[in-house]
Amino acid sequence: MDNNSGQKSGQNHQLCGFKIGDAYYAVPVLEVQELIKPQRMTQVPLSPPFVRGLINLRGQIVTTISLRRMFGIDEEDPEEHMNIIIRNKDSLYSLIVDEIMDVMDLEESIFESAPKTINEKIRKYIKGVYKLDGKILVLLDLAIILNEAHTDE
Amino acid sequence: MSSSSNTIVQEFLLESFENLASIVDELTKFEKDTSNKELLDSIFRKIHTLKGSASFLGFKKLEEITHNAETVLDLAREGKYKVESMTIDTLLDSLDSCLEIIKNVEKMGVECDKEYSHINFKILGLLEKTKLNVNEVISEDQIYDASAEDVEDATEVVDTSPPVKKNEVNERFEKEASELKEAGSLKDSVVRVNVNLLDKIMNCVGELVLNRNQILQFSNNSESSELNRLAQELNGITTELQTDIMTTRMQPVGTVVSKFERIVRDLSRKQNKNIKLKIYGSETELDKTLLDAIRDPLTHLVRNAVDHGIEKTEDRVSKGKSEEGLIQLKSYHEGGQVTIEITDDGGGIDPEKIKAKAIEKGIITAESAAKMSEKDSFQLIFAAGFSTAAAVTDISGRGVGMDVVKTNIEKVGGSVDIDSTVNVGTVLKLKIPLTLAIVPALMVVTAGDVFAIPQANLVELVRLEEDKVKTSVESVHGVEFIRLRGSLIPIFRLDKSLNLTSGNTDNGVNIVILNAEGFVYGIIVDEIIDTQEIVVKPLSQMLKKISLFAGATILGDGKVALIVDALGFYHSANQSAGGDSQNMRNAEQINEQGLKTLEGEEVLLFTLEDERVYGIPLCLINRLEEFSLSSIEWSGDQPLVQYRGKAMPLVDLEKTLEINKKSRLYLTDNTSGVLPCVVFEHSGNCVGFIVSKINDIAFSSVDISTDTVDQKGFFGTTFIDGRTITILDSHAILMAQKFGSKLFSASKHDASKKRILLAEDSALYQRVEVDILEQSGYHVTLVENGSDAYDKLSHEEFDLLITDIEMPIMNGYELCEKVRSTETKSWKDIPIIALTTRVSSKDLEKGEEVGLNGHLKKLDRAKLITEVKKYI
Repeated sequence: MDNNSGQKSGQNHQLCGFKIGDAYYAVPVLEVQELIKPQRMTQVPLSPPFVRGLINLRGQIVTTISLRRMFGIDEEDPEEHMNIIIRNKDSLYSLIVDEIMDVMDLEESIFESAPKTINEKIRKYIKGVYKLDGKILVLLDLAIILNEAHTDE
Repeated sequence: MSSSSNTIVQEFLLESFENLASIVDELTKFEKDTSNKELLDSIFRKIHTLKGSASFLGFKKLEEITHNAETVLDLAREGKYKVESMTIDTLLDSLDSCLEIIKNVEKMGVECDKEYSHINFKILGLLEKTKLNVNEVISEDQIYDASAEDVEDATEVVDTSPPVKKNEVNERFEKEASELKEAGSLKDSVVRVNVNLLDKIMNCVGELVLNRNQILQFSNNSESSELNRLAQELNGITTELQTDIMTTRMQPVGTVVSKFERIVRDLSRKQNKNIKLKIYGSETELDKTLLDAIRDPLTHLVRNAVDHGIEKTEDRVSKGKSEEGLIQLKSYHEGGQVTIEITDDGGGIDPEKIKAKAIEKGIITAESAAKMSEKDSFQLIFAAGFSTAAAVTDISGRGVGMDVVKTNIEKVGGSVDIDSTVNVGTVLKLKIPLTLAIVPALMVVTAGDVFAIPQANLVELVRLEEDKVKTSVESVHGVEFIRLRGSLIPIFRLDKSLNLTSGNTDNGVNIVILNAEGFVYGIIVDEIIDTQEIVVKPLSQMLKKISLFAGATILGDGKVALIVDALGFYHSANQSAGGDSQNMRNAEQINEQGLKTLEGEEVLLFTLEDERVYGIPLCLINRLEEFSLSSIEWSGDQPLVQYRGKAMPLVDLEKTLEINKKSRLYLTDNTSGVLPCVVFEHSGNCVGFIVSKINDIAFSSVDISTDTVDQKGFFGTTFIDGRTITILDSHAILMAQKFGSKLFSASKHDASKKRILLAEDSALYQRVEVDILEQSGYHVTLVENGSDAYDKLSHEEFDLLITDIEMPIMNGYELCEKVRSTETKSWKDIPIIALTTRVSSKDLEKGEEVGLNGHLKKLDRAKLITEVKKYI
């Protein structure tokens, strides 16, 4: 996985933004395979708690991840949510998000590394932030998030 | 021509057509770019391959042409010869000739009669021009062979033909192509496909199968007959497509096993052995992935057979075997699997040596080794850590990396089985599934979720109804077990193991018995659905470390179901059930320690008033009789019947065992009934035990546990056919009767009787053996171990010593040895008979060595008496 794909396409970053709770997050748009509505899920016993289950995406098995649980946010994902499907090392993952925003074209100049003030639990999963008008967009580090199960525990 | 060499020729043809076409292509390209060394190398390699194959298959003419062409190309590669248009022309001509020959081979199976000396001459003519020493390249004879006419003809061509033009090449190419088509040759009927593409197609078909399943399910719930029809059609087509695409991935086993000819030949030469390899069924087909997976393990096994299986020639001769060893490799379909058998007629494997090695390596304990069957002991070879280089030669067996072989075979869902007879040979059986991607699986439900269990691991399904659950499921340290035909099997509840909560209201249990690389265990599930062909999909990287699951599959309704990995589940469940493989050890403990030996005994089963099943070892019983209630007479409160001219006391078991206070014998209104009776004989006196019903004579394959009971009259419990059987202590029951003491005292302290010293540590056997001997009129003195027996012998006089083998302090062998070596004593030559639960040839040998007179199986009344009578 190319960790720098978010920095490509000249000086602009193309991002897929989404909302979880009140916070805004983003992943590089090139990493996203597709967006799908909630699917029937099969739970995986004894899996890490942030693994919500498996869904069937046209015959392929997708592992669904709850970022809320991964970030230690103490609330359940809403019934009505969206799945961002991401392919990583031949495996498919789905991130559960509340709402998808538009694809954003952001200048590199507004990108900063993650501020120290961000909760430690979350900080390890993020690459940095973009300062937008009145809000902060958090760029997630997919390599870390999707490899969580290997590095942790 | 045999089928296998036919296959080789077919492959050769296929390869050669391809090679020729691409050489032609490359030559023309090379003509335009004579500095392209890579191209030249590629052409050279192909020509070289062609030459190699031709020489291997004995196509002399083809070999000669290609050899000459190769020479030219080789010189060109080295820069000693400059390639001109004419060179290309000549080479193309020679390729045409090659094509002609190959086509003839395809049609007739042999080279054509036509002579190709002019072509050869022409090629060599090229070299002449460059004034290189042709003799280096080709013998003079060959040159002179070419007829004058040919030479002329060739010269003409060389001289007159203008440099080959591009369009001419094209023409030649087209001509060739059309010729190939006309001939309807092999090349046209075969397409080479990249394996990756096949994998992709396979994947798509897998998905199509799932889609089909979903549509079928949908159409089943639909009224529309049109939809149903279409769905059925789709079903048929999909199945056919699936079969076909699976067939394309199939390759004959021969592609792997044919190489063994060489391996066996080389290895046997190296070791000065004379070994013949016979291969059967090399046309049996297997999925390519599987074939690749078994290549190394199979090679290993064949090497082993040569290396350790077949003995040295001189050893074979001294054993009276034929000088030539034989290794047979058989591949065949069997029960939806492919079986590959490797048989050798070598030295075989000695189970005792294996056991000894395994004990030394700490893989098993001496106790479990003693109990191990021959078949089980062979399995030790596959244990990790069993084989080291040193171990192999020691045990005349196989060993190096056998655990790896087993693991690799099992990785692809196969199994390895071994059987061997010393000096006769060894058979290894590999069972390989036909394909990996689609596997049959048992679908089960627990806590509302569906799980798939690969059928390869499935042993059987057991259903216990509510009332049986209590008696059949035991719990030791929080781990549950069931008794299944004598073996103790740990069981896990799938819901608990997976931290799920099952809302199961069913009071019975469904147990799926699995075998994962030799670990046999059961999983309790809520519901068993059916078996399905499932497509195995890998789990994401993130979940791969959960070893419980082998993957996932998609069900007919589109939902994802997890596939249980039988081995991973076992380890995981085991750990959570309290310590690594603790329960397995528990099971062994129960099996080995808590139980006295009554293994392999015939037991008479009967029921009493309480409907429970009781048993008495058959060897203690003399007869089974039935008496009518009306024939019962009373002497005080002692019931009697007339039996063989004597009054025989009857024992009301129900009353003695306090099952029923009121004896049935008092129910005088039911005088027409019959009383089944078990008759014992003690010192010429008969006693009858009244039972409710005589059920059966069963073979108890497990030991009797004396820990489970402490009530008087009960000896212990055993398991027969999954039921708990209470074994009665007939001796104690008789002693509890009023007449009991009289019965036994009568037989004691009779000076005229022969005296037998019995050394036996097990309480059950003590009773049984004393009974048998005393009934036969001997006086028995009982001691509990060899050491006590020796002391007794030095102080008292005995006519015969009967000893158990396995005893504390001093065992039977040691006792015998000690007695026999006591030079000065008069009793040094006392006859000694050993009694063991199992008598193997090794035991007999050992017994003879230490000086035993007889060696008998325990609890065989008739044999024991006969044997005793032989000596006193």
